[in-house]
Amino acid sequence: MPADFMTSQRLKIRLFLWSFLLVTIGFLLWQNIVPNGHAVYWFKPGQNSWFINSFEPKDRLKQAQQEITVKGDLVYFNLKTPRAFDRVKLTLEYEPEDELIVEVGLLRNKDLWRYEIKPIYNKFINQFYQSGDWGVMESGNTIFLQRQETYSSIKQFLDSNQATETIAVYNYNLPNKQCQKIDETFLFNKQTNYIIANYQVPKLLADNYYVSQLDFDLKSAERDNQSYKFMIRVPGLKDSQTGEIKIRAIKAEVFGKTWRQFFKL
Amino acid sequence: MKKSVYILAQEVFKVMLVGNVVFLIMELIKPGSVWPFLNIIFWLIIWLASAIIIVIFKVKSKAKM
Repeated sequence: MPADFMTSQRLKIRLFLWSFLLVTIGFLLWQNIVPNGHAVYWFKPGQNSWFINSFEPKDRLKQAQQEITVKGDLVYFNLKTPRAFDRVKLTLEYEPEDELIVEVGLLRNKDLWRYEIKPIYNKFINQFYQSGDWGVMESGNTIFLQRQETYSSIKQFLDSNQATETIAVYNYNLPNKQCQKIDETFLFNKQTNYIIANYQVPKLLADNYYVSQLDFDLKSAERDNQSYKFMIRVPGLKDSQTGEIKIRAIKAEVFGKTWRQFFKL
Repeated sequence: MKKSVYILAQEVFKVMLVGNVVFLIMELIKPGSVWPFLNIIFWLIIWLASAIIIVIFKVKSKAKM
């Protein structure tokens, strides 16, 4: 083989390999810095995810190839990100079986063990919503149901002086009113004509799994060891020996400062 | 063994050596900055394979002499 040919071949190989290494290092830097301020991380049971992990405690969980089963109230997991972000849009795919309420919390204060809890599933509200017997109004994250069409807007209802015993609330604070709460102990009262909640009814898929989306502000959340701590709360599983929730996917879409915002360009 | 394979192995060995050192430094500076995004085992295997090819080639060429 001529020496010139060998040298030119060697140079081509060298150029290709070094370019490949540079591209790989560039890719790693991009993944760590996230200069566009947006990244998506997945958890799927059976796959080892560095980003969404540490499901605990183990005695409240059953891990299978297709899903992770929550068997007890309060299960924790981490969202590990290479840098800090401002906001997360969490999407969960789950099957609640017979559970009444499922909520997800984000750790805000480690010392006080304080979580910001948001609902993902409320069987009572879902039933009222889907029954067709109740008028439904939605505004942002607020859902308002009324048995008879009395109010034309949520604002009109809030401005009215509706009797407390006719209202039920969930994850909603009506000032100066002690209304019945639609939690795991809720018993339907025939006087209840209005329901107001900070809640988004989850989307039901064909295979009986639900999809819920939640938005959390991460700016004031605890970030320890590159991780944000989350909690899944299922109050119905507290003392129960039966019942479970199957989770088959968690998607975390994070948003943060872009490089332009970082350098104030 | 063809000389072109030996040349390729030499080049791969050098690039992978630099790559693995860079990845190691990155991991030491910030744990979790490499392995969640890159299959390091794959890189190490290729590096090792290239080293084995170089050694075999050298042993064979010495035996010929």
